[in-house]
Amino acid sequence: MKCNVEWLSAYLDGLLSDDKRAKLEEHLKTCEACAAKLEEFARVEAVAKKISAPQLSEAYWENFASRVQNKLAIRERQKTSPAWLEALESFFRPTTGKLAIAGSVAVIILLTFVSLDQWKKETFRPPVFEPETLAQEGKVDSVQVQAKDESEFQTAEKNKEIGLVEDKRLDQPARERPTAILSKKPAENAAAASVPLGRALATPEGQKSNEEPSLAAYAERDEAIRGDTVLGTAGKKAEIRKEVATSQVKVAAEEIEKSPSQNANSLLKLQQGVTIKDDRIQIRGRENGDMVDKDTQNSIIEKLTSEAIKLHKIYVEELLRLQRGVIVSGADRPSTTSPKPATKERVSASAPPSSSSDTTNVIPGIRELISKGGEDPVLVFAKSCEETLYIFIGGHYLFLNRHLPNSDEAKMANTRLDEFLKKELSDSTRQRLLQIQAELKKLKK
Amino acid sequence: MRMENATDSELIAKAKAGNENAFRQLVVRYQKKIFYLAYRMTKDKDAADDLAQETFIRTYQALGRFKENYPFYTYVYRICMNLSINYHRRQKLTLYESRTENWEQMLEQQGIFPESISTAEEKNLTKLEGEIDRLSPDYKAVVVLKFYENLSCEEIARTLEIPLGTVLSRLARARQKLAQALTKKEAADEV
Repeated sequence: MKCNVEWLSAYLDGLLSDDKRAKLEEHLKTCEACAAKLEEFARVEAVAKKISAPQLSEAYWENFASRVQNKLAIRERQKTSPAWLEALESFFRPTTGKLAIAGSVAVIILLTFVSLDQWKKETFRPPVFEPETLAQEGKVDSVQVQAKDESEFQTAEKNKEIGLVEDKRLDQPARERPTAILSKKPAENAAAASVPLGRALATPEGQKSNEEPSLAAYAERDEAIRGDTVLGTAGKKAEIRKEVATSQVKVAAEEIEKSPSQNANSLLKLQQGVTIKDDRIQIRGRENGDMVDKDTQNSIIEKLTSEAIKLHKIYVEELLRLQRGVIVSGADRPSTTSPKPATKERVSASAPPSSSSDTTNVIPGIRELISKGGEDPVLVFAKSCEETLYIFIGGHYLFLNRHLPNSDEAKMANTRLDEFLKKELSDSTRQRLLQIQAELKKLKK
Repeated sequence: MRMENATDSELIAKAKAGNENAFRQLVVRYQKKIFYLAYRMTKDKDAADDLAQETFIRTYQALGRFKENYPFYTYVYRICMNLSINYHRRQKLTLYESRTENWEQMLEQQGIFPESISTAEEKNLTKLEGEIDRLSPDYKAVVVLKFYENLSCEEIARTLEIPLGTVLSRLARARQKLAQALTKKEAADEV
């Protein structure tokens, strides 16, 4: 017999007739490809079954049926309108039908404009380099630029989606949306960017739409749809919040505090150790009880953001120093100053790789690399810099976006990083990084 | 007789007669199943919540047409799956491959994304989850009912109101696609 995928699949489900089964079993003895495929099919199912789904609170399930019944009551009420109204409606039905269509079109057009406006405000800029710069430099292949455009497009699509679906947010005036921070003047922008994330999120502007999709949020949503206040009263909300706050918050916060966060490894550890599950942050390797509430979650995100920014800054500074052929000790390096644009040409050979005793505190891994010698230390350093850029900024983005897709928290964090990179990466640094990237490419070839 | 102990058909009969508690009991009985079914289809908690709620509303509204000799779950699953498939079509999910995937890819290509961040098994899970998510809604529906609801192919055919042969061919193709993704990924990891 010929190899037949459908037979293999049906065999796995015990649905083959006796004679087909016999034929297939005979075939499997000689056909390794089919035997392997059969195993793969079984494995796919086994692996798929391990994919977890979110666990929801008891309160959610207890309220579920009531919410269904409330919605049903509303629909029923809407259906049973007075007889005179029905007569009136039927009289105007053809017209209202047309009106409804015209109305829908108008609403769609309106929403499109609003979404476009929203899109302009919220369009995401990936952190590393501007496409224009990349294109002008001609040093980055088009694939990367395209990928960026795509991601912008996708984000824009997402934003549009948010605009269309979560009509509640659209109803808010623009200034009440957290993203409105972006549309302020540059000076205010810088100020906004310097506000710690947690606090930024806690500002009145951000409060409403930054709610995680908790039970309270579901209740609010229902409320908005329904327009009454059967659910989601203040008392209930408070109760839910109380439920969310766990006794382990302190433990988890201490855990984060304890992490020595001054070097690359600790940031990685921080990222590895933290997962977000069912709206709450979980410290990996601890019991399920160690869920963390939203405040701690914000503080972790804030910490991750500031760590990534701090580390990135150090690397940029180091790169610039190295460019000038000066390696200063960790003690000499003023950590708060902004990186100055490189004015001199790269002095590759003059960067002394030795005398590690005074430099080990800063970035041990990089020093080690440089002290090995051989390759151009600037290139070696640049490579590490490039990598760390990817790790810290990329990894950080990855962390945020994987766990907080579509959420305002992720958007805020992204915005802050973008702002930072725009501010901190001066043109000359950026160009230098592009040069280095090109040199690295040549080197790899 | 207590509502909790009543059979589905007893509850349906009462619900049809206007007993709200009986219907409530049916909701409570199936709410988790339906929510997770919708979640597996959409991968979005909010959407799953909406779809699950809508499923029961539609169930109630069409109770009069329900034939009592059919199993209730087939009926309510069907409504949920139809709503989920429609939701999928509306969303055009292919557009929404998040940009995080670009980062992940970039990090992996650079060999930078540390192995320790996710173990090989976690990677497999993530990969497979993504692949299932990318299946077209019709195929995904079969996979979800088979893998997560453990329905037999005949039950799937009844639930989705499609011929058994269609279920079998969709399942075979989906399995092949998922298996390919899994092995391709592993081969890439080894290199």
